[in-house]
Amino acid sequence: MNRQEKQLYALFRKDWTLSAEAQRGLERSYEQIRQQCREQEEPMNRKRRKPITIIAIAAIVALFTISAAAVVLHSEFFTSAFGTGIKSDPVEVYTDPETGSEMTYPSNERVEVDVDAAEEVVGEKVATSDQSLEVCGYTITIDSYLVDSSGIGVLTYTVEHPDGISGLVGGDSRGGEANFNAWQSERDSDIFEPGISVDGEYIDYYTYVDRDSVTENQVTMVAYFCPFYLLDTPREIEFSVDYLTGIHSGDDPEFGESETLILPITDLGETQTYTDSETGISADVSPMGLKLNLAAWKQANGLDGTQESSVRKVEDENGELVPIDERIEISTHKVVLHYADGSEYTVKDDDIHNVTVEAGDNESTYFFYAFNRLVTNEIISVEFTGVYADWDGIAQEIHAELTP
Amino acid sequence: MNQLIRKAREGDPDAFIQLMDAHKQAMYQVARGYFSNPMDVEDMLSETVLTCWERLHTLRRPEYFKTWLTRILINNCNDLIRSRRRLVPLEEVPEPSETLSEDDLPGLLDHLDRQTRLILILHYSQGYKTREIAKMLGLPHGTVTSKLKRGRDKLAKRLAEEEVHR
Repeated sequence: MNRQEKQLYALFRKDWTLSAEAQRGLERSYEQIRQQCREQEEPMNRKRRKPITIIAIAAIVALFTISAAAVVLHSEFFTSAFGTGIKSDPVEVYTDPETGSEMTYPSNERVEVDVDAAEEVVGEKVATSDQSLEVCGYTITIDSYLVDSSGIGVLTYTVEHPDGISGLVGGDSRGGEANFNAWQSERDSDIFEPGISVDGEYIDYYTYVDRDSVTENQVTMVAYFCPFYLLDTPREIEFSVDYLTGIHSGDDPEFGESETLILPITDLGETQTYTDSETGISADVSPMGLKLNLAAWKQANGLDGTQESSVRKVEDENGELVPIDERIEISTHKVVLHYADGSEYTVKDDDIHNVTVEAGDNESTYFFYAFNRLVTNEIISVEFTGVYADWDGIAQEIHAELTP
Repeated sequence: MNQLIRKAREGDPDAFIQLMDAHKQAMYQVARGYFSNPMDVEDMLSETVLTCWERLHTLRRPEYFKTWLTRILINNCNDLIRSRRRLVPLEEVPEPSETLSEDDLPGLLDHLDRQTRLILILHYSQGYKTREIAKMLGLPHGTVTSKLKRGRDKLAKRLAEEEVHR
């Protein structure tokens, strides 16, 4: 850690004196919470403001079906999840009006999906369901989902409302993400927010609007998800919906009871492993995503904490020596799939972000990418470039060519 | 801490308030990273505490409590900025303090743009990695790392100037 870095750590770790206003804001909320609790304890006012989660597990066996692929059975699913209905964006440079500094937003490019090829490659792994739930006037119906053995997945569902769904699909966000922000909704209605977990584990997910599906009262949403850590064989998706009422009424908005659907995963998408013999870096690639594994590279470089003698130590803000592996930081800069026909798919680089979700663990050992297209081509190699920066500010480039 | 979170989730207001007090420094730093107006900071802290109380039942893993709380606060701050943009088409212009001092870090940070301030605070004060910050702020990872570097360099330059003038 150089002098400048040490100085900044020392500076930032000093306690900040809370302003009188900030303390007052906290006290005001504390008093409101205490008051709510006192009211709940009164016998005549037993209405609980604290929401209760009710898990509505439907008769799953009756509703859940997996279909064998003889013809194209999942055309709508493939088109919504891996087609061009979700917005693409070119690369954009934003100039900060305060400082003039520039910020680059990489492009994301959607491509047409070949539904016949898709059906052949993953058709029999696609699960369909018609489980549905209703919250504040919206009817949310699960359509289809597909999860690979790394836990990377995609789920489509339909949202209907008799008064229209413009609040959910309005705005013009980059990449076509759905708008679940209650206070941004102009329409005088209640609002919901979906949540996804796999086997009860916290995962990362983003929800996009299939613009080709939008009608006045209905839209197909596409949720992509990735785990942060290694998952054992994924068994079920928990799709929950929180909702909020009274947003535009002038009263305090109130959370309703959460609703949850359990979606069983009975057949996982297969992955193929690619490895770089020089660095030990490997990747498990499925048609819908990629899991990068840097465990062997970290171990070979003494950065996994198991080789005490080779782990360098640095001085922290208290002057104590701590192992550098606790602060390892690896950035992934480039991931490219090279196809047998000579073409390629750039999953990400500095100017391209052809992923829907990108997640990783805090130890920089595993990185997960959900693709924004379905890969049906034969992959001959995976190219990876990353940077490991140590706390002396010295960056080391990591480059690997992974093959089957 | 997990015990406090569990009790707070069960609806114990004292445990919840203790939990909030344990995180008030961190919340203040983030809110101050967004706004220099004390009234805005007050409102954001107040609103975040209430949102957290209402939504604590949705937190499934207590180890993510701090990140979860920080994301609620960031969402609230972004909502306030967005609502103002709709009403008045003006960016909040920071009001840098006249004098620079190591003892007035918030004043020093006011010389940077809002996003850079926030990235520096989340990284140096609260120990978040750049990838976690990218996720929290909805920015590409490369943007966070480059803003962190530029912000660090600018701040270091300010501090060096201050040392010369002392």
